[in-house]
Amino acid sequence: MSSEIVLQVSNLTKVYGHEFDLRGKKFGQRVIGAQDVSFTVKKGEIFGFLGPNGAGKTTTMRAILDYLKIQTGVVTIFGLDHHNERLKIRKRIGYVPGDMALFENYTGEEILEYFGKFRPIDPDFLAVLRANFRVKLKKKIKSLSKGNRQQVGLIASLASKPDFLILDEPTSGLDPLMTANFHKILKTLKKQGSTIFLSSHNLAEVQAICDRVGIIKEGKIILVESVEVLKNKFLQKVKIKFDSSSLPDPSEIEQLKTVISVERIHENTFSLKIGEGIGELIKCLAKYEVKRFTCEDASLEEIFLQYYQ
Amino acid sequence: MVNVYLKNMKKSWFVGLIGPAVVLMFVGLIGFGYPMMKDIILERLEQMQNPIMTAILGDLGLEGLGFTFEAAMFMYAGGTLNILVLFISLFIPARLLSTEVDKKTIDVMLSFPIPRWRYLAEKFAVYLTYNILLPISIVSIFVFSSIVAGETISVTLVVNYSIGIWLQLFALGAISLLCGAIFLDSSKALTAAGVIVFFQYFLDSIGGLLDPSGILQYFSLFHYMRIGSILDANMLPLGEVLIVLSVGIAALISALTVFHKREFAI
Repeated sequence: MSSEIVLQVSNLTKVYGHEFDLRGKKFGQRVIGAQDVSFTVKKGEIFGFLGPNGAGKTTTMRAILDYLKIQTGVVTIFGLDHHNERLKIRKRIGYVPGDMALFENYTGEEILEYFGKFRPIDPDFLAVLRANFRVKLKKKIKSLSKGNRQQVGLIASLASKPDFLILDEPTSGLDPLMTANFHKILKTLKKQGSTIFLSSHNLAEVQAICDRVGIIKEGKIILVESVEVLKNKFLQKVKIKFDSSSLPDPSEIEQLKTVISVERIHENTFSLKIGEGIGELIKCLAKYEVKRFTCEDASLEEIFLQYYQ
Repeated sequence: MVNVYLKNMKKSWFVGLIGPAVVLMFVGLIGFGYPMMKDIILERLEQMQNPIMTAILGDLGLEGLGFTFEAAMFMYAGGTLNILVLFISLFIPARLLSTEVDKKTIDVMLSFPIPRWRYLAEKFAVYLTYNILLPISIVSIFVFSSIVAGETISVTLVVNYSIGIWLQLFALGAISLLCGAIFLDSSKALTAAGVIVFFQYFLDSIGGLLDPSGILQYFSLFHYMRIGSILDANMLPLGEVLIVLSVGIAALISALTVFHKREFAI
């Protein structure tokens, strides 16, 4: 991964609707889609964008693509302003919207041909895509299942081997085998220097392929961190089995700064979720007779839930 | 270079041929059947002087042609074309964008390196291209039926009239396109365009009935480039051409600007 920045979002704010006062009465409604969102995506990385429905993921993506007018902030892609130089940018990007829709009366081949007229197709990479996706491109879109349509959309959007890919929940509708193949393709693209920005609900997917993640909550970015650091630094699951004669008071453990939660799962067994700094816990446990101590990294899903609770 | 245009030309051939087919069938039927139905057709021509008929079908401006084969042909062609222009200029351009928005195909298309205004302009050019078939079919059927019926017509008059129809389709279509670019949603765009286009038709019909020399009709694009004014000017009346073209160009530029600058929320 290079330090060159492909996408830079600074203080992006998008508010939907208008609100105005008329003789003391308020009319209209303002809904904040994204507020003061800032993050960067570096060249050659896969950046995961996480958040539940309505958190502001799609708003941010559409604002980046200049589909939405932003109230404040600056967005640059390849160092170019996303609004003033959108045509230059669009020559080098690929976009897969959530719930991708294609022309119903076209076959996959016709869609590839049509899209290829706007962004030239890389024949070698198209061959890779054809080998990994098993959809019949000679069939009309309207005769395909949701998953197969998604595959055609992915092939069509990726066939130009874009320098920067923006994917909004790209694997929705794909079966596990196709999802795995798609992940392989993304990793191949990454190896060849492409940058990928993807939003997903599938945390296992983000954990498997992303280098860094940004978590958005109620329109605000609450965290941007590398997946590895996040897993190691922020949450670990600890299971401790004490000798029956040496049981601690759970409140004593709970009071430790590093401890997020304590659950007594058996008479002498405790399950803990801890944040950064396990040393404090170990010092505390030294006073007791510990029979078993296991520690494992929490999954991204658990970290994500932790942030949302 | 013109990928959107070529793709939509291929996609829309069937819709594009409906108008010319209606003209060829309906006006052709009258043209070829004229020798057998001459008395009925001329009687109908007389009835067209009735103000109520004028209000329903619009003032076709046939007074200068008398009770001739040519007048009969223009009566049927004019009536058919008034309705065709109304529906073609309303339903096709108003839905050029909204169908793509409804089906969500616009999302991917906007991510391509093509200026938005050009994307819309190419789509509108398809509408204009297919509409060229309408004047061609009018001229063809007039010429062919006059030969079959052994009657004479003024080809210049038919050509000028046909060009006028195309210009009306352009201007009214551009207004509908503007409604589509503003509202994006199919039903809202159609309603807005319908109100504007039908109101103009209403102004022309009712204005002619209530106040033939009044100002009301001048606000309707249907009022311009009629047979009567073409006959009077002995060519396409340039002032009227200018009015229709100006309205069309202003509406088209507005539509392209709105589409180019607007945002696409979910």
